[in-house]
Amino acid sequence: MKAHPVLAWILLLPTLVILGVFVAYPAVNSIYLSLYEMEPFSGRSFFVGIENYRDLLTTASYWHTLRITLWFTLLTVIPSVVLSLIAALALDANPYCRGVLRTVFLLPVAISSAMAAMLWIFIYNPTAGYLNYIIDCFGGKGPNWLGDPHWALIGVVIATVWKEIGFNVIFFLAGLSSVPQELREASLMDGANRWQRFWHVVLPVLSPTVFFVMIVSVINSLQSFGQIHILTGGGPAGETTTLVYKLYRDGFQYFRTGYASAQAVGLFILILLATGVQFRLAKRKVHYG
Amino acid sequence: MNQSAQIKQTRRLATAVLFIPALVQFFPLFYLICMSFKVGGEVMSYPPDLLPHSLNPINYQTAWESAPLWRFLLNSIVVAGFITLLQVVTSILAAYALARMEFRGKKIIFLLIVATMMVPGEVTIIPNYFTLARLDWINTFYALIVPFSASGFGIFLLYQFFRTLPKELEEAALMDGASRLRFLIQFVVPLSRPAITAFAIYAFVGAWNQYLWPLIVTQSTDMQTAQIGIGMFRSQNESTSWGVVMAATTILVAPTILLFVFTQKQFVRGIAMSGMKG
Repeated sequence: MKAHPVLAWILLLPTLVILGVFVAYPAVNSIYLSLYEMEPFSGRSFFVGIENYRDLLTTASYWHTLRITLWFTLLTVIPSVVLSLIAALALDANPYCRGVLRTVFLLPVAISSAMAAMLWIFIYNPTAGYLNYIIDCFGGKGPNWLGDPHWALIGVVIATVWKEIGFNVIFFLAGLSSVPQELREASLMDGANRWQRFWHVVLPVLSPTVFFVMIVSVINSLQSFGQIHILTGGGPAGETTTLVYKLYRDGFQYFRTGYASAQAVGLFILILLATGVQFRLAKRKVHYG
Repeated sequence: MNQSAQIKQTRRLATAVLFIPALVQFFPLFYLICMSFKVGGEVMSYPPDLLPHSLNPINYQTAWESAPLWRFLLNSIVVAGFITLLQVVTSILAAYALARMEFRGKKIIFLLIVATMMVPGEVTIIPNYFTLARLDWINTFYALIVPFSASGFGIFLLYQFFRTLPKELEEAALMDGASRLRFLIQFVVPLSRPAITAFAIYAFVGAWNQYLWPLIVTQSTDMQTAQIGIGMFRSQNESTSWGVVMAATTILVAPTILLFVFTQKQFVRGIAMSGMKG
């Protein structure tokens, strides 16, 4: 085949310009900006070296934000993966209840995280919300969910898990459809019980899907913003301020560009680390058939 | 226990396992609709009635009149529509060049494009904001669309698909004197319809759901997307009436839900496929 270098470059040009200007350049530029600090009013910037990073690492509030982000990630990823795996297994096992029930579980896919927050916000209302009414019916007394520093994060977590389940169920159902029928039937012949069948037959075939869903969920959780902005605005007392939320506030409300850029670099490293660690773990556990 | 009995039992167990969670999963949406019909003291009454006393659409009327909800939806459609269209076109062109043509530096370009998938959007927002400010694009459609008009992920997905098409096809077509571009449009694109549709759905959902970036670059009501509009609407109206806020939410969330319910099959396949390849 003849080479067509000119045409190839023309075809690539739009992509290279856009990705260059709006992804590659800003990724590198963030590092540069993080070494500067800008005067809020004059807009003049001056070189401060690693001062922004030192600032971050020596303030307790940054570590607190990091801790909140990790808790938020842990508390959303594990329940949403486990619950959607159970839902997908049950949906897959029962051909009769697929239609409506399946739609119900997948529905949150059509709802953005901001809208999901709007669906939940009044459920959490401390005086007239339905959640506290249900707790009241069982004789308990519900907290002021989004206004109480101990409960606000849990409130955001529940709404997030609710939304995430839709996506995860899609992937698990797709993964389950690739478990060969003969394999399951063969294990039935062997007299394997339900749990053994899940553990030894279904899960190994499903493990790449589980791994994929885990990675995507962790990355999504680390980047969550919309539902936090609507439900709590990072409060109360900063108890739902995640890394992205802090970045937004320092960068676009306090205009501390350099400081926020250092946070962007930190977030980048954290996401790479989280993904890397999971790949490391997956090497031992995931079975690619 | 014999086999068919075990299968039947599994099915019964599955229905039982699913029923309550399905109710819980559906509840927020049901609650939203109930709330959107509640007026006056009904909203804050305790113990709360789940169902509204009447299906009075007054909240919908108030919501529609007190904010340009149609404008929010239109903005979202324009922004998500253009982002999807542009991502699909640029990705087809780039993926075709990478998958089916030979030129120097191809490997490194491919690696660089794939590497852009690793960069989270939050890392780029500050420099991008400056770039757009310099272009004087803040609070315009350009700001909402242009930065997302190419996609490393889309190229990667289509690249894998284009590579599976047989080489002979191309040789025959080019022998007949068809140009490269005509071959791309007449053969490659139709043959890759499933992958392109999957990616288009994925791109549209992502663009529609964007929050942080539109929040930063829109300043006036007439540029806000549905996601940003609803937040503004709520902070302006929650003290007066939650019923109206919930009516506005219902209006803004209804189009995507209806779209999903009617295109569920393609939708699910699209999401599953772009996930599995990615």
